[in-house]
Amino acid sequence: MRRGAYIRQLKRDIEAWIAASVITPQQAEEMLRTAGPPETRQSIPFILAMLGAILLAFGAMTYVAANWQGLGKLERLIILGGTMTATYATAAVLFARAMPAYAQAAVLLGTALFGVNIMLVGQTYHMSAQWPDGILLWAVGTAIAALVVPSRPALALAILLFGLWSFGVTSLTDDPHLPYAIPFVVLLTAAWIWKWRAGLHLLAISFLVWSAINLAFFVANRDWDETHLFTLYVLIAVAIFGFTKIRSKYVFETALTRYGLFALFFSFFLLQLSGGAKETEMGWLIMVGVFASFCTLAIVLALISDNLRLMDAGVLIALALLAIAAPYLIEKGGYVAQYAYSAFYIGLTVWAVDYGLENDDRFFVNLAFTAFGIEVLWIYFTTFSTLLDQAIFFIVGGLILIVSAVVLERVRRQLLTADGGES
Amino acid sequence: MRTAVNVVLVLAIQLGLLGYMIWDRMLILQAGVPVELSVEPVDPRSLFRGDYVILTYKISQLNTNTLEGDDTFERNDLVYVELVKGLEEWEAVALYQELPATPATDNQVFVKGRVHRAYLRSNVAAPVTDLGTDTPQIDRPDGESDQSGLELSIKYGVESYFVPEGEGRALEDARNEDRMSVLLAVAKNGTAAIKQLIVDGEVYHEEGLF
Repeated sequence: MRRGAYIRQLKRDIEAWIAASVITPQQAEEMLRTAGPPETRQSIPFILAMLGAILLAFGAMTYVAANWQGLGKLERLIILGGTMTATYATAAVLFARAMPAYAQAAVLLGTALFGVNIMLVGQTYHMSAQWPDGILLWAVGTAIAALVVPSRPALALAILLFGLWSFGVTSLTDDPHLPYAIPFVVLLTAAWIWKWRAGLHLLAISFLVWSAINLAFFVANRDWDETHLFTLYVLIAVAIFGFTKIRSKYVFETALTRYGLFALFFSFFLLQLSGGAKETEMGWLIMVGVFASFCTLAIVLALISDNLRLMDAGVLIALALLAIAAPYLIEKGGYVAQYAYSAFYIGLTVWAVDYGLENDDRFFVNLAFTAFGIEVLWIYFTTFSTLLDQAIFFIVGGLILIVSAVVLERVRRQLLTADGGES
Repeated sequence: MRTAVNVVLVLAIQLGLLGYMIWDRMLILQAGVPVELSVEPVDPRSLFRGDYVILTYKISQLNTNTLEGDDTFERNDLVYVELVKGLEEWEAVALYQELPATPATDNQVFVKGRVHRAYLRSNVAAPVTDLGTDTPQIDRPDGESDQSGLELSIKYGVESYFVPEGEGRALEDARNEDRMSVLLAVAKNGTAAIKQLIVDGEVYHEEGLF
């Protein structure tokens, strides 16, 4: 449960306990004090200041595109340095006057202007180097701002820019881009030390996207089939989920487990869509061996730490084995095998609902129902579209969707209500 | 107060990075070897960077079989193209994976580029039918036709020329009538920068230091 939600729930409970004479008002005050102040929320002025900074940055870019020709080279360079200097000077003054929210907005604007200036210098001197080089320079400057000031908004921008840089290099070279690990570790360390949840979320998402893209390029370079790729995705997802459970009650545990679940659904959904593989190379088998070892290690450690039920471990092992066998089974079994994998996918949703109810995590239940709905849609579109004519297809589909939506939502609410009542 | 000082430090670092970009370019424009090349521009539009003309040079498309030096290149590799001043214009004579140690003479320069695409041409001549052949012919300097070798598309970092909005069309017309060339400045390390844009033999635009 998020901390803010917990405090609000605690306040409601305390009122009920006082009314029932379970605790005294003095005890209630002590309880609330030890629970800590409510989670600080970003103020409206701060959000407005950030949005204003972003709008100003876009305005600067548009100005660059539309009005640069009227200015001489020296004038342009003076404007470049001047706007950036004025922005950072404003930030410094705002920090000195103890107005950190507005100062952070000014820092974000400064980093955005730094990027605009890189583009404008490139334009002024007719440079047309590979575009990721420019993004890298922007990202480095932004990361320096984030770490030196320090500035969370700048760190967020740096995370996005380094991701964009890595994607740019990968798309230009068609090769996985491992140097991304260097800025990633630096930014991760900063976000971890600052205990900045939003930054850690952004980094987790960046890492998942980076992994998926780079592994896809790695597999494509070897002419392996898509099923080979999706098998590796599933194994990585199993390993991620397992490793999140090797300890209990640590910061970010809930979020990491949710990312693991999302990765499981995403990867297994792709796997069941794939068409198998005619040939399997030794290189792929070696990779499977490595990732399967990670999965085994994670599951064993999670079981030892008593943070994973036997049933959960069984599901993870089954997913890994199904993924490893997929290239062969789907190739040999054809449609029958694909439908079998669809059934396994639905089994995964059932497990996720059970896990969510057991661990009081509604995200698991909601994601499982979403995944189930997407699966039903996919089955409907891929099977009945060939059997029914178009009008009946849409009418029947519409009815099935409406009835399914009502039934699913009712079941979901009943499950959550029943679980809430028990606890 | 300490944070305010940090902000000033960040500003100094970022201005330093921008300053290095400008300084590096100024050095090339000031001391680089001038190399004039004919071009074939087109006129696309960039969302954030205003109007610009894409410049394609004869040395943007080279074949390893028609040139001396190294033969093995892959996409994204660095390539140093040796240019020699001919009677009419500068011509590519060799390709190298690394910058040659031999100092360039007044009529010789090495330009650094990056392989954008690399693909093999078949050694087997395409059959000639009534419909003709789609296989492009490569003319060697000695007049022979050759269809083999590694075809390289090379970028030198001087493929964009930014112009005031609307002027791209006029330059495109000059391209169509074969009236345009570019004077590059090439540094000793092979980095090239656009020094002049020349139309009808006249300087259309010259890059000053400031």
